[in-house]
Amino acid sequence: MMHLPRRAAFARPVSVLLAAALVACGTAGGNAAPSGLASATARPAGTSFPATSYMAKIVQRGKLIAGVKQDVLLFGYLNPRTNQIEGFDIDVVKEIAKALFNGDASASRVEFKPVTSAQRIPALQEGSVDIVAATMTITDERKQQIDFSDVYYSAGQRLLVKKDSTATKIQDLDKADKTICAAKGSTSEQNITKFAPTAQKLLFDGYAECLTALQQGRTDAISTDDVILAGLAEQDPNTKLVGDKFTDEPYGLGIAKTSTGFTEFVNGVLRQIKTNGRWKATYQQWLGKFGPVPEPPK
Amino acid sequence: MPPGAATAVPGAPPPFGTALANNLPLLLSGLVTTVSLSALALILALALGLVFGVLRITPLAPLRALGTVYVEFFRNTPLLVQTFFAYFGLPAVGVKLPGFTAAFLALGIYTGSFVAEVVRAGILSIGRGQLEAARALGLSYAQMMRHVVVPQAVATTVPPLGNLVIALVKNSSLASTIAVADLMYNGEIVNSRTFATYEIFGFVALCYLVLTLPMGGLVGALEHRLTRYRR
Repeated sequence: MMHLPRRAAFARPVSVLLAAALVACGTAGGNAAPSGLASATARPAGTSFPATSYMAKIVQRGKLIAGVKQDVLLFGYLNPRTNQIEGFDIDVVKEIAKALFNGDASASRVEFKPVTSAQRIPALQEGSVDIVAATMTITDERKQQIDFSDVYYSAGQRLLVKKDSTATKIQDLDKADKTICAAKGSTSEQNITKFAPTAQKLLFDGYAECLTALQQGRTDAISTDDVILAGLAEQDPNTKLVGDKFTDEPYGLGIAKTSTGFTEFVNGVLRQIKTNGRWKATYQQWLGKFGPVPEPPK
Repeated sequence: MPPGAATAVPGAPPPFGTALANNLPLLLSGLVTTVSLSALALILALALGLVFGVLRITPLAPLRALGTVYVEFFRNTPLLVQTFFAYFGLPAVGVKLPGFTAAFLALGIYTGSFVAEVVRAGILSIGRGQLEAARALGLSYAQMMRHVVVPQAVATTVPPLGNLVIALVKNSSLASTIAVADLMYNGEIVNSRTFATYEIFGFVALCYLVLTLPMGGLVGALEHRLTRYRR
């Protein structure tokens, strides 16, 4: 035992834990037949987290603290009417909290802390949040600073056009008399040059101006991450999202490197919701009107 | 690596000046747009300023009111707001202007309100004695303005006007917010591609300097010539 490398030393308690969870009664109202680790019906009972794991710390505290966006429609957005933050990212966090607290889905088990893109990684490193679910793309650069869960949402660049437009993909607009709008200096702008080099580009400081330009007929389309486009389409029902993703932006949940065992636990929860239909239901709820529900990302 | 090997080290940033050299055509085309935008706006500003400046001091009250409304409104609202309004706001009343047009109109009307005030101050600086002498000689109001007041007022207005021209050229950079491909807009695009911020914006600043410094010199020379009779 003394000669096992550190990684294996963590893996052992976690796998014992998962095995124990499979045997325990997991889903509310259901019975857990031991179906093997592969199906990952990981629903660890709160009391059986190893004392040194990060999950035990959360359970002891009594609630999960999550860093989220509050200004991204459909993903992390403060609803002014209910004064609650809601969205796809929020629902994923709620699933994790439910798993941590043995099926307890009450609101008091999660605290949502609004963070900006600039703050989300420092917040993890300082320990002011346990996990970050803030439309964060997994990049090698960021992996040096924090850990990421498995991909929980696969964003990518798409196209937003008016309801009566005949364009179905970005290549349809690759003509000199077509205009596409994006934010100045964004990677979206550079991708437009790559995928529709002959189209005219209209660039503004933000996407609100792009939406106004689309409404006024100054541009034929807006192209950026589908997450942002969905938010715009939500504001203007006279628009539609078209085309498959032509870039890949894998979103991951951020976890501090020092959170022992937490990343594996979160991945277990993600695997679970991807197979038991919860992921698809969440997608349907927030993004269902923009296109068919895809398969969950691996 | 052998000693004295070539400069390109993989992974290191390119030598200073590369980004600028590679993107010079785009930046220069932006400069041309800035110059044409500024020139058109200046002509508009001078025309409007002259008209409304004189309106502000006519004996007729309704005309004076018109002049005051123009000056007070366009001088006291931000140019950015006026530019956005010209581009995004006017379509609500059926007027859809292209970016360049909206930009030079907003810039010209905005600067015109300042020119009007300068013109007014210049005219008012003419001593009463001049006006009374002109009336005594039997000149009509229009003739008095044209032959006595305006030529003398020009000398007083030239330095402040020079300042306004410099301000106009710098303010033209706001056109970049409504997607006009001027120097600032193209500078931002090149910067986002290359991240060579010092080079690119250094060059942009230099271009604006090249446009405005001679203006200051010209104003000084003009002032010198026009006030010869006073020395």
